[in-house]
Amino acid sequence: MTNAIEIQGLTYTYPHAEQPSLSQVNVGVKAGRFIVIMGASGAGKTTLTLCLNGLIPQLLEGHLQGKIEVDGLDVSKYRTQTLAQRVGMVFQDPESQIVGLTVEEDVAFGPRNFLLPEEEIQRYVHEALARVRLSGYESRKTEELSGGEKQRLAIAGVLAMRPDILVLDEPTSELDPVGRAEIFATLEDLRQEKELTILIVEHWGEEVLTRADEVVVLRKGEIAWQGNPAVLFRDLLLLQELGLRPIPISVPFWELYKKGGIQAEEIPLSIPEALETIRNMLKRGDHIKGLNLSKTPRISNVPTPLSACGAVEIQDLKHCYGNADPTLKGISLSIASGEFVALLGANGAGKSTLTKHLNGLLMPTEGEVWVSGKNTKDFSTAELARIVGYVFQNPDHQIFESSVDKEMAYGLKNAGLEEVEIVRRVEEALQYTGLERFRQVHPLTLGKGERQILAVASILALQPEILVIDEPTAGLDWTEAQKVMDLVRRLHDQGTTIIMITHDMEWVAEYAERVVVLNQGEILLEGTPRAVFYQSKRLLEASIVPPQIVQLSQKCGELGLQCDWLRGEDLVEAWVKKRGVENA
Amino acid sequence: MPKLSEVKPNVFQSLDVRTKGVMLLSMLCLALLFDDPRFNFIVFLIAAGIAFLAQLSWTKVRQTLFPILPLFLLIVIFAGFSSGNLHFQQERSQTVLLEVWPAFHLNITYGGLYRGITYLLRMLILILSSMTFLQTTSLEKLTQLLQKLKVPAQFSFMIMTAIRFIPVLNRKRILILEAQKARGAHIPEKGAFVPIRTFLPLVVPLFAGSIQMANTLSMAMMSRGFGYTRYQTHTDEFRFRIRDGVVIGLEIILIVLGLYLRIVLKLGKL
Amino acid sequence: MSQVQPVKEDLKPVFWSAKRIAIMAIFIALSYVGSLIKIPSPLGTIGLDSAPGFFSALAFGAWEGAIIIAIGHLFTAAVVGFPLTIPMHLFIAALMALWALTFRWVNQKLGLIPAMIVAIFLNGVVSSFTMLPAGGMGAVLGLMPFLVLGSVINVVVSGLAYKALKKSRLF
Ligand SMILES: Nc1ncnc2c1ncn2[C@@H]1O[C@H](COP(=O)(O)OP(=O)(O)OP(=O)(O)O)[C@@H](O)[C@H]1O
Ligand SMILES: Nc1ncnc2c1ncn2[C@@H]1O[C@H](COP(=O)(O)OP(=O)(O)OP(=O)(O)O)[C@@H](O)[C@H]1O
Ligand SMILES: [Mg+2]
Ligand SMILES: [Mg+2]
Repeated sequence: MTNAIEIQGLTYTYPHAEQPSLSQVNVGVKAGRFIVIMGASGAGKTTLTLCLNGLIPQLLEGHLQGKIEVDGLDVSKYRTQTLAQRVGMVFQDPESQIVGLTVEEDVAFGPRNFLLPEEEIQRYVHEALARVRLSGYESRKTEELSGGEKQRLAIAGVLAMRPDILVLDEPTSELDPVGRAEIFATLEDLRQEKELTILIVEHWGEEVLTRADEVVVLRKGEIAWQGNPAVLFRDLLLLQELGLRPIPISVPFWELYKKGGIQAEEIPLSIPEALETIRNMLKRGDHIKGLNLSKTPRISNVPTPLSACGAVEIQDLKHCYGNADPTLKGISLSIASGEFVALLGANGAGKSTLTKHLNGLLMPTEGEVWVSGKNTKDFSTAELARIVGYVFQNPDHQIFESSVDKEMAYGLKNAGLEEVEIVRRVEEALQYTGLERFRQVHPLTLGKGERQILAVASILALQPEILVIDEPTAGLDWTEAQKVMDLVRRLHDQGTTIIMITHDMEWVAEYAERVVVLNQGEILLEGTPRAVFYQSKRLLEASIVPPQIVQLSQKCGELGLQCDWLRGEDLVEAWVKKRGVENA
Repeated sequence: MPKLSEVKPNVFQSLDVRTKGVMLLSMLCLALLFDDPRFNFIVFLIAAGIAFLAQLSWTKVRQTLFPILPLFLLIVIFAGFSSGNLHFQQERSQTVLLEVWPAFHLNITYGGLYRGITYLLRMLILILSSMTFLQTTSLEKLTQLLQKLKVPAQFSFMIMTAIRFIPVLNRKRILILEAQKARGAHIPEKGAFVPIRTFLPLVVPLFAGSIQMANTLSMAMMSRGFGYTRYQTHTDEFRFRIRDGVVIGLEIILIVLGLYLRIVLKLGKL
Repeated sequence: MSQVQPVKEDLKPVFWSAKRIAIMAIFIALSYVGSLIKIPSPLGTIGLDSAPGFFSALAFGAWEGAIIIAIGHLFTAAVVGFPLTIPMHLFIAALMALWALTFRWVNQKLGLIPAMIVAIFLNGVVSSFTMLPAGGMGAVLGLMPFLVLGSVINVVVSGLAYKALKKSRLF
């Protein structure tokens, strides 16, 4: 049996590029396998997927060498359109792949292009929708679907052409946790069918770890590693070298491994495995310390100080969009100057609606909002922008100047600062964020991570007292995400009040001083991260899953341990090596 | 989402789009054919009759006409001043109604007044007939018409795709507006003289984002076989019924009659 | 599994390529969305409905620009119920397509500033005369200030946006 995908000596250079984006790539994929492609941003993952159905070099020209075969067909000899019946492609942005006004119309688009008879088209459409669990959605308007549903629709759209190979380029990176879960459930179904060869580009390991037959890691256009995912994710040094995010639960155990506490094979990649490892450690006579009560108390309702110097004071805030039901149903919250607050909640819980009140983008329907002692009703958004910096999720929504330094200066000009002061602050922000070398570069030619840092930089040049930042790490690779979070931490250390909206609980555990959980327009929980994350039942209401280490800690009850770990280091600290042997 | 209009079920809606298209065209011809307001008034009555049969909403007509009333006034005044044998062939038309500024021969003539009224009636006829057409035709029918007119299938696909992306891009516009306001941008909604530059922070990211979106869209389209052949499997077919034949027949009779009156009998001049 | 046998078709470029259609569809939609961006002026607010078309003429190509601006105009007009009547809007759309072609051509021959001046004159002054047969000189002069102002705003915005994105490698 021939391989479903066979790539030999693939080297490709984009038009006008100096360096090849792929060099000497060799990959063979057997039919029916599930392959994950990983690698840092700019490593060439997207480029590789585009080569598989001839979009490179037919649409994006450039120089391509080497041989690519899918299903035994030489890709260079067929048009992308012809190959569409063999290779289905799903892209990152769910929105721009949908062409139909209704679900049915959209799925039928592919088969119609092949002039299939109407009855056959109908059959394929229903079949494809069933495979992504969208049966019954036929006449729904595509516009009204959620992000996860849109992306599943995109998958159905290519499945309706009955390909043998399904290629997905970061299909979940623009989705929220619910949408991600939907996609992976769908992929799991398809994998179980064992009819499709699936190739997926993905940044995070958790979801693909157990499903992948093989991982291919790219670095600077070359294959840097290839093999079993479990092996890769147990070797945290290797991960670091490749720029990949480790599975969070494995991090503290890697420390234990370095200290000689466990064997390399014992490094867990999931909660049950971690529990097993701890059980083994206990069996060996190691000791795990219990509650660490010296730290913050576990019970919530910590009364928040109503200090006079509060950065944010919200009193009984209600907000309605139009005549609809209220989106915010009476929120009272005060945030002290210099605090680091994480704002959590499911999609549509009202997080953005709440934070947009801080700089006057929205006005309270009822109630009052003060920032830094100013009532937002009395000031314009432009004035409040000097106090409240707001970084939106997509940096591309801000970028409009033709160079990085001009982009940073824009906010300062709006604030009416003098030319000398503007130059000084831009210089400072460039240094601070490490963007100096891009000063004259067109911002849109930067990588995604650099654009995100630029968005933060152009806000922090305004030196706001309060920084609101929405999903700062979404869509970034591990190194970039760490850079952005490091930047946020440095700002916090200098006294900036931080309000961060995020779906990534690991960052919350690591950075936040206080957590506020919104649910359907109301505050469900509020307190220190430890206090909040241990209320698993109530978190579930807001569909929040606590960090892996917290989950493990709760599971440890089964072993008769009572733990309250919040971060990996808590576990490392709690470990006491078998009596009589010195702690390394 | 652009809606041409709420399509109400009635006799007109069941007519073929092509029939209604011909109707619109014949009203246009008739309106432009005559200069004499009396003839235009008859055409206007026909247009109004059709609009009435099609149950055109009176509120809608009023909403459309209200903002352009000043324009109507301007039209009549300007036309009123047109005079002299250059403009009019009939003597009666050159008779002066009101001398405004005799030294410059600036007079309002009967012909001018009539012409003004003709212009008004023409505008009304066109407005009424296009509103009738729009209110009885759904968007899908219109794109199907495009296909029938042997417009390439790709063209109608392009139109449908454009419609599909309007809400997407509009959301983008709002997000960008918010993001720039949060940086202290003054993007004014009122005022007389606003520098055009202030709108670049909104327009440039919107254009850039649209280009990126188009790039993905084109890749997705090719990956789904778009362009495999020049055609697509069609769905709906048009039905051309007896009533369409009757209506088109009437339309043709009207046009021929109009042409006969104007060209052979040389009626309807000023 | 596939039903249709793969055939190797010639790779010769066609006008209606996926790339062209995608760009045109999205910028037509953008023409409509542009009309929702209200720019205040002494004559009331003016929408950015033709800026995407003029921009496309410079950024993507003459025909793209012409098609986008014409259909974009019809879209925007359709939504407000063709205020100047369908035939008139069809004619204006055709004219605008011609102006977009000219805009690109002058830009290539003489540069951006002359191109903007020519486009403003054509789209503002010349286009007003479409009202002559139906509404006489009164209608022409009544419409002209609006068209001129609208053209100034749209053409200048498109030119500046083109300058800002020229170096972005997006097109
Ligand atoms: N259209 C293009 N023209 C020129 N260079 C490009 C183009 N697209 C990508 N590149 C370059 O090719 C390299 C690989 O890009 P690619 O998009 O394949 O990376 P990736 O691994 O998918 O990254 P990401 O995680 O950010 O999606 C990068 O250095 C990028 O700058
Ligand atoms: N401009 C608007 N008009 C009407 N309803 C809106 C508007 N913006 C948001 N909503 C609604 O308000 C609710 C809260 O939205 P919001 O954006 O605040 O949620 P969120 O918590 O930020 O969610 P996400 O995690 O998706 O960003 C949602 O049900 C949403 O549909
Ligand atoms: Mg990529
Ligand atoms: Mg939000």
